[in-house]
Amino acid sequence: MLIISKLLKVVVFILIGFGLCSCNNNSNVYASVGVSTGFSSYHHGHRGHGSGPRMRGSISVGGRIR
Amino acid sequence: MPSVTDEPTNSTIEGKIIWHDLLSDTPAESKIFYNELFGWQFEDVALKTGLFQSINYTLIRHNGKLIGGMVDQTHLETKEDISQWVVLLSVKDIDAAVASFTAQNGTVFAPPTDLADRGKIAIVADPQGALLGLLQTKDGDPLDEQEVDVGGFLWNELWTRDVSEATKFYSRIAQYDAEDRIINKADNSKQNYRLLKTNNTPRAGILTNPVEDLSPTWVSYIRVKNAESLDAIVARVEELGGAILLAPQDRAIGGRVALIAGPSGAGIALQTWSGKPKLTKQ
Repeated sequence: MLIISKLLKVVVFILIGFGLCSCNNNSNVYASVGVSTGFSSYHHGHRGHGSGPRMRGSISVGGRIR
Repeated sequence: MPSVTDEPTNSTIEGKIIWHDLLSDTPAESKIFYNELFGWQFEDVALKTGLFQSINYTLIRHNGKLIGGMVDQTHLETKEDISQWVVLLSVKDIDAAVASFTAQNGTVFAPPTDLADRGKIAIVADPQGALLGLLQTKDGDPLDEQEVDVGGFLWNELWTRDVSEATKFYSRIAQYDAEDRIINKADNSKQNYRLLKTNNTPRAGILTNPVEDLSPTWVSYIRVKNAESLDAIVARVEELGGAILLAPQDRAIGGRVALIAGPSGAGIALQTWSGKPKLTKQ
């Protein structure tokens, strides 16, 4: 009975611990992003390109305007 | 999770991008990169993860002001490389905003989640695939600034395939008014630039994706003082482990821009900006 009682305490302790796992952790919400998009997708497909500009295009019309 | 402001503002500015999270699989290198180039300071946050304290979220400050956060991607249970900057859009009712994403064929990666002092967050993608976060703050949003600091976030822009569809989509999330500006390019051609505004204040731009091989994405711009300092920053990018994605170029309407990536591959644009941005107070 003593062993079972101690085991139960350990189980309860672990459950409380895991209960706290999902609280207040910003990183958990990003773990749900299961796909590479945007720059992460580009980076994944273009590693090891060496130095120098790596994209083709122009952002001369981009950016903040007054 | 800490609030996005040091002091409560009790003001919600729906449609404003109020925060930037960097997802990085190289957090140590990223800290050095952004500190060296822009002087950003990093403040690790101890978070309760079960029975232990874990540091996998870091606040980013610039000139003492909170400007964003960094998530250590190596602690995430994801096999994909998701390193990138994520913009967080302020919403008054996150449940309604997420419902609108779902109804309009957007993707909901993480449903509204309570992050204590920060408020409620959801991670979503628009129908064209651009990733972003929605944030309903608990203590209010950062107020509009009369002038963005050099080295601070100056602007946010959506690079997408269909500007009209994207405008319709986001205007159902926040009460945006669209305004088109015609930009005369150096070769005498004209290109449209669409602004999304709330209360007559520009909040973001939408542009047909200007680069090849890049899926639709939100892009943030960091303010740089002048052309000389922009070129000097870009010259240091590779020695700090980053990449030059688009070399510095002159803007059609004046100023200079460049597109770089940090050590994790997260892309970010640089733009020269002088004087005070024209802002309308809320």
